[in-house]
Order: sequence, then structure tokens, then C-alpha cells
Amino acid sequence: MSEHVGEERLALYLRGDLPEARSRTVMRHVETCPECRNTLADLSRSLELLAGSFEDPEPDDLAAMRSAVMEKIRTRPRGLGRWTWGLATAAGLTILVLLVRHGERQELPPVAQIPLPAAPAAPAAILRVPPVQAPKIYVARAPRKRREPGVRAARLFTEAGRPAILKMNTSDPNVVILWQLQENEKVATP
Amino acid sequence: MEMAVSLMCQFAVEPESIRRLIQEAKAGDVAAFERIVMLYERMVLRVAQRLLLDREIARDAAQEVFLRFHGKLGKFQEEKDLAPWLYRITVNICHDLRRRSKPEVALELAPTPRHEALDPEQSMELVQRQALVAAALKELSPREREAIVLRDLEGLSTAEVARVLKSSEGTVRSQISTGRVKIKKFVMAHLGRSA
Repeated sequence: MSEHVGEERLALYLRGDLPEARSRTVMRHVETCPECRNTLADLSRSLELLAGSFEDPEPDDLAAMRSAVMEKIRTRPRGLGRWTWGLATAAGLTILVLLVRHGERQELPPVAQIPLPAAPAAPAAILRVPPVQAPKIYVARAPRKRREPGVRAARLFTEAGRPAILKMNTSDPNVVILWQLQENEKVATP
Repeated sequence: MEMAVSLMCQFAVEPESIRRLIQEAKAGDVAAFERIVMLYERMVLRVAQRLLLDREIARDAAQEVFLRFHGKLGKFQEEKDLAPWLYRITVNICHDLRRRSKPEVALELAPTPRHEALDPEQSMELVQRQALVAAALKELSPREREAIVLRDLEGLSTAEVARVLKSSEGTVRSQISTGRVKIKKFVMAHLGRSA
């Protein structure tokens, strides 16, 4: 007798899920192998039990589900897609933010009513003053031109009897390089 | 056999009529949409119940399926078959619900009106069988359960299951075989060979 057929293969053979050639091989084996026949019978029984244990949905469940669906559809606004809802939400949020800011501005007391911090003996009065913050102003600036760092200009100062000094102005106006030359050092001139 | 009959009923509706209903629903005809719901509600709720093993959550899932379908109605091409699309949405929604509602809830075993029509012994037997099957299904991975429900309970072919699950036929075949073996082992361990 040939080797037993694996359970997984028998499970596929049971409902015709094997390719035809393999199915024929399994069939020939099962005809002559009582052990594989028993396994196949067990697989068959368990699947029958599975199929026989479920009932179709109850009509009450179907009716309840359908009426809930139809109610939601009838009350659902038509023609409003996801984008429309997204834009509406964004617009709503913007209006909300503007209203809140407007409200904050109105809450500020007029300047005339702000008590002056006159007497140092009464610091409590000062503490009660709500802070008045100046609105932040953002000014758009054009991007600065990038300047390459380095020496912009150089000038040689010579005086008789003294070592020459090379003064170099750099791209940074705060940095000036003074280079004292030694006697045997020469400065290359263009 | 019962399953096959229900599938036959499902597809007894002319594709042309369904296309017309979809067109009307797209044009804003709510009654046409309700007719579509009536045609597919049994299929959708049945799959949801078998995947989720809970009547209440399955009802919510089925509701969500039709609401999503309504939301995407404008983009749905009438020439496409609606059933596979609904199967896919049902599986996806059930997958999400199952992930969110951990730990998994037990199959509702309260006697239904149909149980009450049976004699007490038969009713008890059915309840026990359902509990066993539910426990066996819980032994499967989500993908195995989806493949088994679609192939063995809904009667779809392996190729159809693969399309619904957006998977390959080979993968589905592997999920089906593993699932069937797990169910068999579980059932045999609890009932023995006399099952």
C-alpha cells in the first residue's frame, strides 16, 4: 500500500478543490486505504456539522437591519461628498477661531481704565492689571543676498623703520585682520 | 442543500433588473435602493453572522455594508456583479469589527422562535451543536475563517473566494485545507467518531 494521503490534501479532495490529476491519485488511494477513508469520513462529518448548525438570519433581524439602513439613508443629506464635508469643517473651524480671537480682543479693558502702578505700597493693584499684549506683527522680508565669506579688501601700511602691516577687511564688518609682516616676508601684489 | 437553495434564490434575480435598480438608486430613487437591500440583505447578514458569531454585531456590520454601498453608489459600475463586491465589503467590515471588539464574544445561544418550534431535546441539541461549531470556528485564524465561510458555507468556488479576499487561489486553498482540518480535529476531540 502506498503512503497515506496527508489530512490537508484529503480536506481539499473532499470538496473537489484538488486539480483533477491529484484528485484521481487520492481517490485511488482512498479506495484501498481504510485509515484514509476514516479520516475523510471524519472531515466530511465535521463539515456537515458546520453547515447544518447555522440557520439563516431571522426575519426580525433582517427587518430591523433594513429599517435602520433606510432611516439613515432618508435622513442623510444628498450630494455632500467627503470633500464637501471636509471643506465645511475647515470653514467652521476658521470661523470659530476668528470668533474666539474677536472675543479675546473685546475682553481687553480700555487703556483709560487700566489702573496706574502709582504707589509701590500697593502691589496687589498692580497684579490685578491684566497684561495688555501688543499684537505680534510679522513682516515679510525678502531673502538676504548670500555673500561669500572672505577678505573683501586689503591695504598695506608701511612706515620706515617699522614692520609693514597688512590690513584686511573681511565680509564681516566687525572683523578686520591686521597682519604684521616680518622683514623677509613679501606681499604679493597684483 | 439549504445553502445551495438560498444561493439559487439569490441569483434568480435577473442581472438586468439589478442593473436597472442600481441606475434608479443612483438617480436618487430610495425605493429602488431598498429593493436592492431586500435582494441582498439575507446574504450579507448571513455572512456577517457566520464571521462574527454574534447576532447584534452582525446586524451592525450588515447595516454598515449597505450604508457604505449607498455612499459609493455613484462610483459603482452597474455592469459589475454586485454580489462579490458586497461579499468583499462584508468580509472587510467584519474583519475590522472583530479586531476592534476583542476578546471575541460568544455566539448568541438564546433560543430563537425557530428553536422554540422544536421539541426541548432537539432545541438543546441544536444549541449544543451551534456552540461547538462556534468554538471550532474560533480556532481558525481570521483569514481561514473567511475562506471557510465563503467556500463551505456560502458555496463560492475557490477562484471566487480568492477574488473576494483579494488573494491567490493557492493561498485560499491552503487556508481552506488548514481550516477544514482544524475544524475536524476540534469536532472529533469533543464529539468523537460518532459525531
